[in-house]
Amino acid sequence: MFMSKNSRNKILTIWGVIIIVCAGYIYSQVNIVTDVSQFMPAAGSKQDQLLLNQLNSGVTPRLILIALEGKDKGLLSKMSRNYAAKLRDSRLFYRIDNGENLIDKNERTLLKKYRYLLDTNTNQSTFTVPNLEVEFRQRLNELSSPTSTFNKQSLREDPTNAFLNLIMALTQSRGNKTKRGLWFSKDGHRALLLAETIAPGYALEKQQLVINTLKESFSELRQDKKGIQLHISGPSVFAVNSSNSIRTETQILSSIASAAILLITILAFRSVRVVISSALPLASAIIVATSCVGLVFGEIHGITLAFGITLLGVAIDYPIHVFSHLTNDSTVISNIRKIWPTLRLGILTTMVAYLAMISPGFSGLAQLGLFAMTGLMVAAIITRWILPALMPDTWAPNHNIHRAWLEHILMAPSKGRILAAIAIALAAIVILWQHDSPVWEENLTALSPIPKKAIALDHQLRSDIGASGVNHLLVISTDHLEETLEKSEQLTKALQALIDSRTISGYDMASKYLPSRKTQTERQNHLPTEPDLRSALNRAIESLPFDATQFEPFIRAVAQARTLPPLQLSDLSGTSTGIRVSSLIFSNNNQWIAIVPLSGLKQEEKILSWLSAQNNPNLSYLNITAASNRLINNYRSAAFDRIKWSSILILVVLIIGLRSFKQVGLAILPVLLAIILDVLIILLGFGERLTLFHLVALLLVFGIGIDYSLFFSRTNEAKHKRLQTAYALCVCALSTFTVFGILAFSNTPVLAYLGKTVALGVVLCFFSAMLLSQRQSNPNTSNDQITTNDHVPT
Amino acid sequence: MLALSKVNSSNATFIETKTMKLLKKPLTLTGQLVYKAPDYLQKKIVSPTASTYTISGQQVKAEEFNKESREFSLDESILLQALVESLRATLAGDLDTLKDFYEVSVSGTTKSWALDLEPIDDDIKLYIRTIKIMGQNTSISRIETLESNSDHSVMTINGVTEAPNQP
Repeated sequence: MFMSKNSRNKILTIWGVIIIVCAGYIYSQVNIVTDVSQFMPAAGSKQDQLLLNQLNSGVTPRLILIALEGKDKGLLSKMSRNYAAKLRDSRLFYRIDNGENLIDKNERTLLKKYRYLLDTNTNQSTFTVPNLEVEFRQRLNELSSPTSTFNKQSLREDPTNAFLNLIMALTQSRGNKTKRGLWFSKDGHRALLLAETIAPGYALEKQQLVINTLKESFSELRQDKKGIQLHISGPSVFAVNSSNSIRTETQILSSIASAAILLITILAFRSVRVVISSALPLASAIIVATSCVGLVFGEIHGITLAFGITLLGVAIDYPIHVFSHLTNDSTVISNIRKIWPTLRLGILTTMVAYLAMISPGFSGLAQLGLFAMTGLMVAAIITRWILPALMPDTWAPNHNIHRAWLEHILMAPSKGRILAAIAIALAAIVILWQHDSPVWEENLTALSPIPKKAIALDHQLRSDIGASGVNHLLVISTDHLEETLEKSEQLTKALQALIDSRTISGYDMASKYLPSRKTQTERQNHLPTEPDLRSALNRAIESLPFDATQFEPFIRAVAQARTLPPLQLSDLSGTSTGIRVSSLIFSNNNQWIAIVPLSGLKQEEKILSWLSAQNNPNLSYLNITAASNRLINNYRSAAFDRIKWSSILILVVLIIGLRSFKQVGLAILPVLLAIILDVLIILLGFGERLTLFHLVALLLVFGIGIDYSLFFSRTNEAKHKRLQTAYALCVCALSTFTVFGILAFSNTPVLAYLGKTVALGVVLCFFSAMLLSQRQSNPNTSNDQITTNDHVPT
Repeated sequence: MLALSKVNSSNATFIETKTMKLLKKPLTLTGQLVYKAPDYLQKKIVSPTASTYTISGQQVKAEEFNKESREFSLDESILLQALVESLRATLAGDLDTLKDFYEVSVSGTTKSWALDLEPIDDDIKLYIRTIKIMGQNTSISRIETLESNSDHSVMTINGVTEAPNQP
């Protein structure tokens, strides 16, 4: 059978157009997103939604801790100021705190205007004669101070210091130790700064820009001050650094791996054409699958791309199967047709395995499933129809090398082996069953690619700056903003009791900065009328040397405050207080949610019992670390659930394809054995625990293993054909083992897990499939089968 | 000025009269001043209420009547730094530091001299118009401060005891 030049060109043209269109579409339309939340299950419970919200857009991931380290405190102070000023100019940050006064002119004006509505000291006695007298006496004392030169002017409009108290309360609750007006570590060797980026923590490209700016601004300022060093830390810094190191490592490892594959295929087939063609199915699969995911989901997740390409790795085997089975005595096309049914069954089985990942609740997994499925389909089509168009009509690899050992193994009797395999599998299952240490990794930080040194620095800076990340939260939620604010205010006393009993060292709350409308109106009602205030003032300063006529601005300010509309959330937009407030109260799915970060909480059970004593349906408690671990574990068990379904589907496909339960059993047994042993070795041999990444790896092992098993079971073939098959599978296993073996050396735990699991699994699959493959001794059953399949129109 | 730099430490009492628009009559403070070369300065107010301000290097400690004591740095406020240096740099005979903050004009003789200080920085000009420091030989006898809102204060310094610099 030959392919005409005309149809050859037609096929290649169609293929070329599809690839160009897809590539163009990807380049212009498909965004690669890195927002981790999309890879999480669609949050079911309210708490999970809140958690995801916090993980994504909460303040914690946006905080960067900065330390300037040196010996000269004066120099450090100067540097801290200049550095902060420079960073504030960069417009990349909501705020740069270094202990300096941070409230700008516009915000001061706004807060000053609203001081009597915002100040917690405003009550019914504030403007009484005795209270005013106490205040004025204290102000008189303060006039003795040398600093009165600079601050006595404000006395005319604010003799009760309402504004000063307000500013102190606003800045103090940011809870940091000030030394020399700036934040310093206890030993004075580190000036500390806290930066809150505008970019979300997960936006790694923007965070990279932030980190570059931090470093560049520092080196510009440092120039002649070599004694000072910059340290930065924080979730986004970790994320950027590990993504950079993963990228570098992946580049190095994948170059080594590509070189290794190239070498193996060159050695195996000794033809440049073959080597180049063998990359085509995988490359086309990646391009088409990416645009397909883009078309369905509007974007593709970085994780989908990374794991998807990993899962598609099985497609590298397809052309190798084809090339190995080519012979000089018939055309490329007819040779491909002969092995196509087996290959097709392998591909279909693997596709079904990935199909199970597509489920409505898990956008990330669904993307991954769609990617892997379309990719495999494309790889199959390319292998079946495009590769022949690229090959000469007849071509065969050089199979001269004698492999007596292969022959020996393939021809050996098999019944005992199958029983042995079943026995080994059962024994392994029993061992796994008896294994008492946990199988699943519950501690997610074990996966963290962050070097220990960086974690130590982070702890150091956090304790220096007194900013332990927000981990323990109280959550107040109602249907309305005002109601949530009021409920928050009602908790103030109970929270103070927690501080008094040292259960917590402090808390933050939106209503501290933005009191409810109700509270503001109440305070407004305590403000006296103009004549009342005038007479109270006169009587209060009767025995004091103050000149009553100087305090007209105070009288005007109180009068104005009486008629102000209460301060609203929108009034605060763009101010540092507004940023703080909107990180503490926000709307989420028609709910107004206030979070109350608790600091210094050591005994969680105390909060839990406090919470149940409150008996407040609007109040709940969230431990972010515990909750995110739980979320990931839910995710894992859901994924595990999917895998169960996919096993059933796989069985169905194999039964339809092989039409024999015995055949199905024989095809699956080697793969199951390999996977069970793989898991056993990971758990007992490496002493690791399983994670989601292991599951993905095992899924790939399954896909590869089922191909090996099906090909080894092609019992209708003559001895030399079986040797060809064995040769092809040798090349496949060797190349896959090499690629993932290289990955196993990665410093990134996730990549290393993936590498080890797959490399080991492939070797196990190869040997178990080879040792358990069917013999020619009972050719009848399967011979019919395969021959029938050969004539199914394709 | 040069003669001042030879003084290692000095103690004195002061009377300060602050005249301000806010008050119907001037506020009069009495107390002690302590200076130790090169950068220690203490102003101890005895009446009408007791407060002590101690400055060492850039570090300020303020112990004020009816208030918790607090510490801060002169780095925080150029205003305060300028105010402190008008006295401290003068006592140290440190003309360079004075010139960082003020236009300085010197008049009189070594025996009886006067310094006129006019702030350079706009931020400081908002609050201080001029500071006039008068002295005899190695000690300061009178400081007149005129603020930008026309408030003014006069500090007279008496009973200075000095210890010269060790050779």
